[in-house]
Amino acid sequence: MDTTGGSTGNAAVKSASTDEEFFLGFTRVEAEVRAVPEDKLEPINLDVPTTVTTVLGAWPEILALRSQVAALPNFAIERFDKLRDYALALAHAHGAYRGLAAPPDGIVKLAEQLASVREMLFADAMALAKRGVFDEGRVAKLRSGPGYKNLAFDVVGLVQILRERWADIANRTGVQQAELDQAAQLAQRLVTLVGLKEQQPVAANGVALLRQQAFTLLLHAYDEVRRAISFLRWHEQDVESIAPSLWSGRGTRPAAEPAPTQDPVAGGPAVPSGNNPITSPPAAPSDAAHPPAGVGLPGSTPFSRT
Amino acid sequence: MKPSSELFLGSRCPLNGAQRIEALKLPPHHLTTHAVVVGMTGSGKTGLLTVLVEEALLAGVPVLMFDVKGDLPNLLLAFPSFESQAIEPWVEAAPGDSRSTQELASALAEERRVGLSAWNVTENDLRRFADTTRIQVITPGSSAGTPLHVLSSLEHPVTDWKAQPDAALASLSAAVSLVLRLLGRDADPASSREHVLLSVLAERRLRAGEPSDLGSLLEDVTNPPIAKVGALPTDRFMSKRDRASLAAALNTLLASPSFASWRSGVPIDIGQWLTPKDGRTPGIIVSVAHLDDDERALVLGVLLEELLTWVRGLSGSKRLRALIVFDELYGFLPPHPANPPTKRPLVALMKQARAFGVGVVLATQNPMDLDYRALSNAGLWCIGRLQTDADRERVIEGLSITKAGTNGPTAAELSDLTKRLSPRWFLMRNAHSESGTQLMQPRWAFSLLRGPMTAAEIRRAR
Repeated sequence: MDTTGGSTGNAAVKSASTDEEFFLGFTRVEAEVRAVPEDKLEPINLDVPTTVTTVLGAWPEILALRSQVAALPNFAIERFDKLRDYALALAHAHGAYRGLAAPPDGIVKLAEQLASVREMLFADAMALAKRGVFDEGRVAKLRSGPGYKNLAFDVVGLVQILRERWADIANRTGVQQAELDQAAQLAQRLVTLVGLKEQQPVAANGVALLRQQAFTLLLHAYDEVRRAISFLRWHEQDVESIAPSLWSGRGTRPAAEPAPTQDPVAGGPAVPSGNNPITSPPAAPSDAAHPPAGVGLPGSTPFSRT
Repeated sequence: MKPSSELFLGSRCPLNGAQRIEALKLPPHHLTTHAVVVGMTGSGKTGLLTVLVEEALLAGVPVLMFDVKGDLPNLLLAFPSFESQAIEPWVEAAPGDSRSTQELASALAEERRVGLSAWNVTENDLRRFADTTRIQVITPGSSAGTPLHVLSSLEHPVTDWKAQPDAALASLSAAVSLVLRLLGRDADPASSREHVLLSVLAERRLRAGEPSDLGSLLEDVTNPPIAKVGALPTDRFMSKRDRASLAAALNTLLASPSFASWRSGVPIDIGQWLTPKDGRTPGIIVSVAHLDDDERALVLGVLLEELLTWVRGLSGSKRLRALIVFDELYGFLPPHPANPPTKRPLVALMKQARAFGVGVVLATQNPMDLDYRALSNAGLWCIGRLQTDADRERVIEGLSITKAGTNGPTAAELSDLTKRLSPRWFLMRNAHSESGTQLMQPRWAFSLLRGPMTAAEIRRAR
């Protein structure tokens, strides 16, 4: 499994910018995603694309600490290694969910686009049919079908007819090969959208569940990674710059100024740390566990030293 | 901590942060002019909100909370003692920590005891809170908490159509939008013909005192009992074929097991929710953290319209009769031209609720995405640490502090202060106080603030 994810944050995001990359990541961890039990699901209270890009952006710097993380006792390093795939899987599941949730006017616009494509292909095919290249009756049937599905299959039929004799007609028609490919893709997309729309009540539940399972899996894995890095980088206190909190609400890597959000020194109950359960502070740096006046206690300093 | 009619929020001191630290006790009526809490993640907003809610409840003020992030159900974890047993189910060891659950719970319980004791909170105070309040978590579309009949304003309306026709129409419109959203159709009242048709049919039934459940509406859509919609014959307004399609979709929705969760549970009856029972002041948390963005906006739109209707039906009052808390406002009160279904009732509440003794507390970590005109009347501002220049400038702008004044700090000074604030410290400006802008530090919360709670955890904590 490729766990490198590129040498920079931008490269990591860029390398995962295709649907195929998302899908491949999803297939690698699909069994784990689907195994997340429903009673353990986390609410999706983060922006999913931002969550994905934050994790992918942080991944190179996180990966650089792998050997140190692997040395920690009782740490599931295999989940660390799959963190990037978990993010890709969430992107894939989110895309599927968004596809289902697409408003009907998405279909309408696509159908309008495809209708003009059908007119263009039909005109060319009919002109060639008049010249005896194609069976005119066969072409004539591919124009007037009502409804989205008929429209899509009209285009599929026209593309098929033109491709059958492409070697003979390539120099006699204004249609380009790329236009045929694009027309076929648009038709396929319309068929898929219509099918999804028809199945929406059933499919939406399944896809929404899958998205929430992927979200939960990524959230927990990233949470564990942040805890490990928080421990390893205790004295440097730079966990936010390596693996930023998903709860920053901004979707960008934090600036040089450290955020107090996940300050493990505080550890106490007055500042919730994201969706984390209460955790104990790392055991090692005991002198840091009790800041001078105690965060949240009377007399603590109102201003940070930064 | 002695029982008091004032809200003991923590401490306050001048902006230099070093002199004259004193207890911050807020008369409840100061909240009738509403409050805004702003700060980045980790600034302590949720802690401050929780303390505000705890104090309001202790003062006998019912509180209705809208919870978007999942943090406020932590109020269920206001254990009535310092003992560690109750905390045990809620702790989890960090990587590399070999301590047992019992040891971790003991350490956390001790930390809680020390923190609360430092603010003079005793076990008696914790017990008093537990004995005099009733926290209920309502989860629309889920049985994790108390389920909510989200469409009750459509099917079992509480609003009086004769006394408050405008309010009833607004509630109906919000409920119809939710139905259409669940159907995956255009839910915009301004553009959707289906919205208009369903609203007209439902209104006809409700005005006649008949039930307007989805089954009845389905029949009406198929065989409209009205000849015209607006100026057009019904068949021209929407063809039989389109109506049949809508009826089929409604039927599919009715038959869907997942939809049943939206139509079962307690009805939306704000007055009933906020009525003390058995000597306990209610703290009602409507948690929508488990819903997606669109569902949240629509469900909260329905609830806020009902809330607004309830407020308008109250008699005038200068005392704080109820407190409304909205945690994480991002996306629900955006600047013009965005207009989610939550915006209209929120703006109206900010303008009108004061006269009826209902205070609104709004909190957000995204100050850039707020309609500041709606917030301009807020009397209490608490500003925690803000990291970006844009956020700071926007908040200072919202406070209407744009140039050097004779009283207090300039905008630039305030901006610098908000950049340097420690966690759990806030700049506070109270319109009812002559002290000007001060620093405030919330006390330690009774409740164990462990971050957002999942549906399973809410179920476990009930």
